[in-house]
Amino acid sequence: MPFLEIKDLTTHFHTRNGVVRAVDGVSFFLRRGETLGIVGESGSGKSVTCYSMLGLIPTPPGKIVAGSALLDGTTDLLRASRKELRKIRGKRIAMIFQDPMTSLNPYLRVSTQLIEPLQIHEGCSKKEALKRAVSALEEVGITEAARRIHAYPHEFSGGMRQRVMIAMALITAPELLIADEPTTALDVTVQAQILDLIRERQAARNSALILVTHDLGVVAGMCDRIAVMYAGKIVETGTAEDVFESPLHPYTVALQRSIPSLGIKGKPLYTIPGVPPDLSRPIPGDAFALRKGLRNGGKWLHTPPPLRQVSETHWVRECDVELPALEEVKDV
Amino acid sequence: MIPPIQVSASESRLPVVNLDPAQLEEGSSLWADAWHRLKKNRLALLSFWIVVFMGVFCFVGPFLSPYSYIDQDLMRTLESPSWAHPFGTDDLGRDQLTRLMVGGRVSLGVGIIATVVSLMIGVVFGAVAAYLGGKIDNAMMRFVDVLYALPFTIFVILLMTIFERSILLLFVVIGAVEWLTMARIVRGQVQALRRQEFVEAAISLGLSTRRILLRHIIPNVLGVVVVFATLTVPAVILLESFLSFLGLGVQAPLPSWGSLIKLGSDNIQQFPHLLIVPSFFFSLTLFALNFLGDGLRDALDPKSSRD
Repeated sequence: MPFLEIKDLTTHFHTRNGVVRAVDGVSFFLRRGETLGIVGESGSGKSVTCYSMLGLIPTPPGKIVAGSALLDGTTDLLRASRKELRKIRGKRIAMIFQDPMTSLNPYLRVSTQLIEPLQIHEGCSKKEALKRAVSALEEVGITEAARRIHAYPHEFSGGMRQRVMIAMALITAPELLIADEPTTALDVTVQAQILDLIRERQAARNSALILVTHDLGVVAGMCDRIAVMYAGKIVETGTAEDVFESPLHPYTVALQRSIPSLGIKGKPLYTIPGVPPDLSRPIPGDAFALRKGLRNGGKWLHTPPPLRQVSETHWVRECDVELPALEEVKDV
Repeated sequence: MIPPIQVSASESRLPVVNLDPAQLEEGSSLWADAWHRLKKNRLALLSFWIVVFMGVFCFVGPFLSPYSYIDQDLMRTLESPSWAHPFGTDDLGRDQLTRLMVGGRVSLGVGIIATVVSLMIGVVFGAVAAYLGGKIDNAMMRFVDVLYALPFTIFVILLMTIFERSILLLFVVIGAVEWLTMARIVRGQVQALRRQEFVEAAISLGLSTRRILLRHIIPNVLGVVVVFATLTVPAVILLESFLSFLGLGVQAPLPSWGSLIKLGSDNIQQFPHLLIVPSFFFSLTLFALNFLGDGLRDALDPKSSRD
């Protein structure tokens, strides 16, 4: 039985412009110790998927309309009471946020914030918690941790703060770590370090990891399996090999092509034509084909395209866009 | 040869190091840090000591005075300052210094207690409303609006006639009015804060709403709250003197700074010291409170420079 199984997760936001279907029937699973990469453009619903699982969607305007998220096959995260959820958050599932500059409370010392999960979830005394917090900081590569733990967040650099966040998330040895674009706000030079660190700590604690990113390059080396999201739906999912070696959905192909490479100089970087669709209007058919000049066929004009199983591990969504279409509109 | 760079003691100090070793083990509280930073702001420190002096002067002073604030000496009314009466006497021959001290006790007492009351109600009310949001927020803030709309003077007269007139009631009445503004200010601040990522991070770590509000959000609004509180104290003192003037404040023999200034302004032609002295104490306290509030705001912000 998978450790975490999400089924048909649907999250809507009620805004002035209508109902935004941010996440629309997303299903995936995760085994213990496994790493899943969720990839997609901004607004594709990858973050909302994660926020929904932890009950972090602000309601109103957000609302989880349907679906289930079974942890260990028993607890449904979407239906758990506040109290149950509080016991799971920070203890069994922890999260690392995108921007380390704003995800630490500027008015509290790092020590105060680091020991909080231990005090809440394990009833540690302050002294004991502090001791563990110092070693947690050392584990994420912060030198002189015993001294620096009492500093304020603004006394750390961005990379250092993200290390603190990682230490904070992992301090209770959670079974699942959700990293929501953990490197987006960081310098390129620091990104690799942070990813290495997440991978290393994850391996050391044997936690499962959901890595949310818009950068396929990031997930390539880290993930066992990958789910590609577009307009609130998963369009392709499979092992890292499936998705990288034999991508089938044109969106996956396009994403791959948008990775900057060190290969040829002077060649303009590929960009996917058009813009993502407005999710506040219902999309009856294939959402990707709505992008400017991409539609190539009319099979999924009015009915939503289903996921088709390609191999034991590989699923891809049917689509009205054919691969050559991506080439043709390149110069538009 | 490159000459060795001379580093002075103050320059070589890293920002994180200037905590003493005891603090390193324990970690110090927000207030200990704030005090540490406040000490570096001379104006705020001076203001702090002025406020402390006023407190001691008003609350301990009367016990040391040979006169009581009600002792009348009709033979020696409206005297100029002398050794026996350093600030002279008033129109009933009462020692002005003693009355100044007792009056300060009333004024500062009303000012501080009413402010603390309004602070506690206002901060909690505003923070809860903003954090919970939605319908609860709406209901809570409309309640504030309704209270706002009540004419204050009528409200006071009403309460004063229904209940026995007492200083305690005065505290309550003023506090009950002043917290409204505080609640609005705090609500605005918290609304901006609750969408910040660190609040989400705190939720994702399994913290309860109560803990997030008390330990994560309220420290973030303290700077604004403190500044507003130090502005509230003078406002409350003024309010009290206004009520005393209407005969709704403190009862006749008991002085307050407001009533002393009133007396002084009646005799400004012949006996200017009766106006100047209480006004000086009053203004000095207000200035000190304002500067102290300003200094406290900086001191409560960990990002403000440490040196």
